[in-house]
Amino acid sequence: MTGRLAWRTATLIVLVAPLVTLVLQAFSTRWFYPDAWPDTLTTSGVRQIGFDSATLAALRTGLVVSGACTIVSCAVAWPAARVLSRPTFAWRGLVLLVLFVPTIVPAVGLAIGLDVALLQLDLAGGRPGVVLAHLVPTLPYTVAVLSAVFVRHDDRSREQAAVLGATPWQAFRMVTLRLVGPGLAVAALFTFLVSWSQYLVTLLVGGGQVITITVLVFSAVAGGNPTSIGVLAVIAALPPVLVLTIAGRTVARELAEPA
Amino acid sequence: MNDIGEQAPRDGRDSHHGSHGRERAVGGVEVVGLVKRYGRRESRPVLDDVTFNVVAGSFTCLLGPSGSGKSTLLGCVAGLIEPDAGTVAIGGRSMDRVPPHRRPTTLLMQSAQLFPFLSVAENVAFGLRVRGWAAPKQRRRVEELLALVDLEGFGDRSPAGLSGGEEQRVALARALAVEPEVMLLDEPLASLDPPVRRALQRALMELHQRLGTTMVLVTHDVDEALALAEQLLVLDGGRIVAADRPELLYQRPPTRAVARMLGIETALEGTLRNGVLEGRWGSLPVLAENARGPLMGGRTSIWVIRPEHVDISLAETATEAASAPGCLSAVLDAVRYGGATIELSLLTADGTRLAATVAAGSAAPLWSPGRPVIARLPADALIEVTGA
Repeated sequence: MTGRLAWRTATLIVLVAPLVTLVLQAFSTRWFYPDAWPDTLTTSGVRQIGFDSATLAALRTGLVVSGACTIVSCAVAWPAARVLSRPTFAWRGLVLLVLFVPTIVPAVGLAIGLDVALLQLDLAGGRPGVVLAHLVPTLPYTVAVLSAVFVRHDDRSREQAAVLGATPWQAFRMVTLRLVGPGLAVAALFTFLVSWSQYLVTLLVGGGQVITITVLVFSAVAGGNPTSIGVLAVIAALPPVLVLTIAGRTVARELAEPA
Repeated sequence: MNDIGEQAPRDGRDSHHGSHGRERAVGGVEVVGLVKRYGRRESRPVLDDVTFNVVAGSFTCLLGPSGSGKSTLLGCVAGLIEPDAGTVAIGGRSMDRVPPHRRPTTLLMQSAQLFPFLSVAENVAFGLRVRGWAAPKQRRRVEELLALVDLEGFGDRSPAGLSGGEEQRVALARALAVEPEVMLLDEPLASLDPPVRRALQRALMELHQRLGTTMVLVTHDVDEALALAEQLLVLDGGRIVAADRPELLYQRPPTRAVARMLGIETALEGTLRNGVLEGRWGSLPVLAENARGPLMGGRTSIWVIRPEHVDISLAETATEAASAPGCLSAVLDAVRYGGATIELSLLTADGTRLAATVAAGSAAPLWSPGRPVIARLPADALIEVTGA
């Protein structure tokens, strides 16, 4: 076995082993240490918990919240990233630092602060408030990725399209979006994943009214039922894995094309 | 270069481009009082009250050093940059608040800016596509244009596989596809190798002669400007400092700065007394027809001379003495071999620098730094300029 193959195998084990464990947990009712394998494998847990209406509703809520957050975050980050990518913009480092402050602050402090602020705006306890709250941890990543994309693709292509007769919408659709598409997909991917993994912010700002699948996983962990934890964790992991697989392939294909 | 199709002949004009074969004359450009600042209001304007006219169907070159505001000016005409003050009119129509996509102009940038996700044919067809042309009509037009720029059979290629010259040809075809009244060229040849550059200069001239499209080329290359321009505008410090036919500007530059921009390095400052210019470097007779004022009365003035008009002889073989009228003694300071010619840089005793070019012939080995020479500056070649 070459060193490279050993390295790849080790990486695969580290990445996949926890997921395999979760899947096994989801399909077992009794699996205790030091057993290497569950006593029995059954689909009863998956059927009972996975197809439960509360689970499906939480999955739907999570997709709606993270999907909305991704769209809003990309829309807000787009103009900000364009400004930040300009070589003449002197405050790039400072702005990025300020943007990333919420990701440095402990999650509890951030969640409580956001909850208080959104309560005052009467936005806590609903999906719009949670989406807004998710923007705080997601926006820095969206802006950072998009501004790197815009540094690579400056405004001249859009200007070239304009002088050839393209309206601003045609220039955006036919040129800008084609050029920055893969970068935008990466930014959206990051945003979705960061939003999807938000637990504390969702729990506090949602006030128990907005239950995403991630919140359910944490509740299950508190409950201590390994099967519930396994089933819910696998369900929670499915959308990001799917998004990563589909978008990752598309992005890789696009990026492989000569610029 | 091939023909593009049926277009009306244009009026003939006296120029080195000739008028035969031109098929139409289209929009002229009128720029009045253009001002543009970047940053604070009190900052120095990049364009400072720029006013000029470009004759419809002409080939105009905007010559200026880096940072003189050339690209900003072109951006204002194209509608990509909003001026702080002033107006732009094309073909007699005001372009105030007219967005770039509605202007009868197109802009060729320094980098070809081909869209990498489109084939060569799709790039050329871009302007037609956004105008809603039917696909078969687009295809016919693209074939015509690719033939026009000598790129038949390149339609299916990706821009990634093209050379710099081919890229600019595709960009040229793409710009021509939309039949602009005015084609703005922002140093599109600057990054190309000299042979490719010369080939594209010829292509541009041929296209201009054939199509009669008004062309405005921005360049900092004097040779390019002199070779292509029917009208030459010299931009310096955000202002048009000279505007005339290139041969006239080259023969009689109005200012020292314009002379320098046109490659005339030698400038002699002195006092005029009885038709003789006297300075620390010596004295030279000058002619009244080349002066900007009386030749006497102790007036201080600056005179320039083109390098090819300075006659150089080695001091030991010179037929004229350094004290003869129109002659100065100097020492060769630097020698630059330039193929057909040799560029010489001379220093007079007081440190004044003179530039001269001589034909590179059998005497070439004799031109070596440190050798004393006699420079003859004919009176009819000395031109008075203002110091600005």
